[in-house]
Amino acid sequence: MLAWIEQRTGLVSALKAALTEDIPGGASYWYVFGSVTLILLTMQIVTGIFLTFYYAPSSVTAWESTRFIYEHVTFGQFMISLHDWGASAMIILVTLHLLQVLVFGAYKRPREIQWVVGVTLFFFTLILGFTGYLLPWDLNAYYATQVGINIAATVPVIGPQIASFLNDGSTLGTLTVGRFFGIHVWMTPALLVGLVGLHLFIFRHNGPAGPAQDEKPKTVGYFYPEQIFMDSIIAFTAFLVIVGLAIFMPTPLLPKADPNFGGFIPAPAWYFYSLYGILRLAPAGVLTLVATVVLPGVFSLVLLLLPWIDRNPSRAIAKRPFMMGVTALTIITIVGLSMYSAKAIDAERKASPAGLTPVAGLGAMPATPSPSPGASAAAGPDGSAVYGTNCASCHGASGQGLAGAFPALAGNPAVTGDAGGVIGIVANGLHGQIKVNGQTFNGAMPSWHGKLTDAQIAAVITYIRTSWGNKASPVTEAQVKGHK
Amino acid sequence: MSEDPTAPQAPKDPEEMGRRRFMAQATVAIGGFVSLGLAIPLVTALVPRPELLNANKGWSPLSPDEFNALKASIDKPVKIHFTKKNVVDGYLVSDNDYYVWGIHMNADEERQFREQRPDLFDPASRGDVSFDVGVLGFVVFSSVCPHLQCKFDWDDGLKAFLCPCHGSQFSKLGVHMKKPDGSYIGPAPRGLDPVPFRTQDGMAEVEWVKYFANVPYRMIVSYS
Repeated sequence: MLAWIEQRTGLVSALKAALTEDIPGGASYWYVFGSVTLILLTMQIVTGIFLTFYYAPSSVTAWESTRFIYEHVTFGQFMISLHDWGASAMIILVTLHLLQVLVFGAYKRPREIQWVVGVTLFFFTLILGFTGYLLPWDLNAYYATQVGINIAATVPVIGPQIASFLNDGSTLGTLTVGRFFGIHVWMTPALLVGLVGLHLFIFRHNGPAGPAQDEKPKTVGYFYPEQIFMDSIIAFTAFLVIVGLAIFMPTPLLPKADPNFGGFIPAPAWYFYSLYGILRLAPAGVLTLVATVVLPGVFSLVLLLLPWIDRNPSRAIAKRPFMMGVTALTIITIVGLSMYSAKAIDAERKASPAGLTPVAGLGAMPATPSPSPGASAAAGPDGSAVYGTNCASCHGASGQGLAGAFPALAGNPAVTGDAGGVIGIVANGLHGQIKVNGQTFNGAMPSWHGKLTDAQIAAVITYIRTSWGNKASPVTEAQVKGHK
Repeated sequence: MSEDPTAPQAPKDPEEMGRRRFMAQATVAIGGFVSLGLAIPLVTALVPRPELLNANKGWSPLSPDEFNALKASIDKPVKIHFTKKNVVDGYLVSDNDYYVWGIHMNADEERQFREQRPDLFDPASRGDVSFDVGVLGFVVFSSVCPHLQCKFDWDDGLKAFLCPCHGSQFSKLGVHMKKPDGSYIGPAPRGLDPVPFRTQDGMAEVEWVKYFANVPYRMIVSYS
């Protein structure tokens, strides 16, 4: 059978050739990172393709379709979380791979081009992370991407053009979603897969670099089955960790992006925390530009051109104290900046938690009423939809309110208190100055009696009493009727 | 490469061979486990949930003007529009416009209807037609052809419903018409499909249903 296939295709000998690879000095767990990255990339492609079955890139469907995946697709939340944690895992593995090559001096002659392709792949991975982050179109996706694009806009000379290209216009909107979608699911993956092929081709041309020493190792090991076994052990471990995280810490989906939402504190993906850290630490003015654009730009360039910058011909670690020192210092700086950012973001979010209660995923309230297509006909009006149409423009998409004018509904005792009180306010309106939680508000609340049906009023009150951390009893249509 | 890649690798002692066989098999086993672990949720996820298939059940009021036209019509079917509110389509909700064909029957036609459409009255062949057909002298037909769900139209010359896609013809009472030689005109597998109809507080209402296409029996597959 194998001979039959071999004779007609040459696939068997090709596979044999692919598996037969001398490894100088023998197989090692140090060499697994590249293969594991490749396996994770495959997993990202598979889960990503799955998500495109449901996801629809436009500002009116991006968040809705994402929420649909969470709520009405079997294993939908699991798949989204797998894709999200898989992205993080890929960044980690790519970084480990890069560090291993760096420490082992494997970027030196004759592997300079191999290194350049590899660093490009690293940048592509970051582009995938950045563009994928916007797609759920929740508050965090929107504001974090806004910050990212605005930083890109400060690049000298071409900044405005970059921002205009990313936005596809002047503001973050439906065209941006389409553009990021195209970059995330088509352009970058296509280029990435091509470059991975190139990376592997050059790898086979030069062969594995082997241990960090200048003498040729006396022994050789085999890629198959020794190295591939170690690769699969680590890939399997990574898979189990990602699955565990996807099950026990599912990716949260925040309320839908709302350009009028004040006070929301966005956080970039953790792998951009170090960049965010320099942005925060840098003083205003010209130095901001240095921090956000010049420093990362120079760093990227140095990384890319490292084989020509580091002229030390030796690969032995002991003979490269300067390079090792710079590497260690860079790692410490990046980790330090990231930790600083994590702490700062965490503290700020604790102080101003508006909009941070997820509607799905980790931390979501089970009590949050979700529009179920099956139940909608029988269950009457959808409180969340009534709220979005009539109330969110003043009280905010997440009930955060507007300082001085419209009180927050999240954590508002008038909302969560006696049902009669809140029914009265919604049905009859409220005028004049009021005080909520020690703050004064002057905005006018219209009377909704006659504009909304009793069922809609009941639904929206139930919604605000059970959302954003509020946990009060639902209100029925009969209660609203009885109130008048 | 230092050796011919297709040549067998250097023979080892039995213990070494066993070790290598274990590593090869473990690699395949791990690969299989990971692939299955991904494939099972992936494939399961692509199966639509029943809650989505059964969404959108409910009555909608017919256009009052067009229903009044039907009351006045004695010889022709009348196209009657209606709007179905809050139709759930995946993650989208919208108000959709539909139309049905109303037939106003006289006493004679009501008798003919019972005779000519046993498929709507015989308990053995009614399928999902679990509602009364021909209520108050009215029959309401779905506007989609039972063949492949094209929209058919009333042809005044033929005095028949004619489907533009494959030429099936149906009488005013929805009977799939035959040529003089006894063969059916067009490929439709059954006569026209009725939809539930009622009057509620003076309003004529229908429940939009879609039946499984191109089979002789009637099975409801969707309400939108």
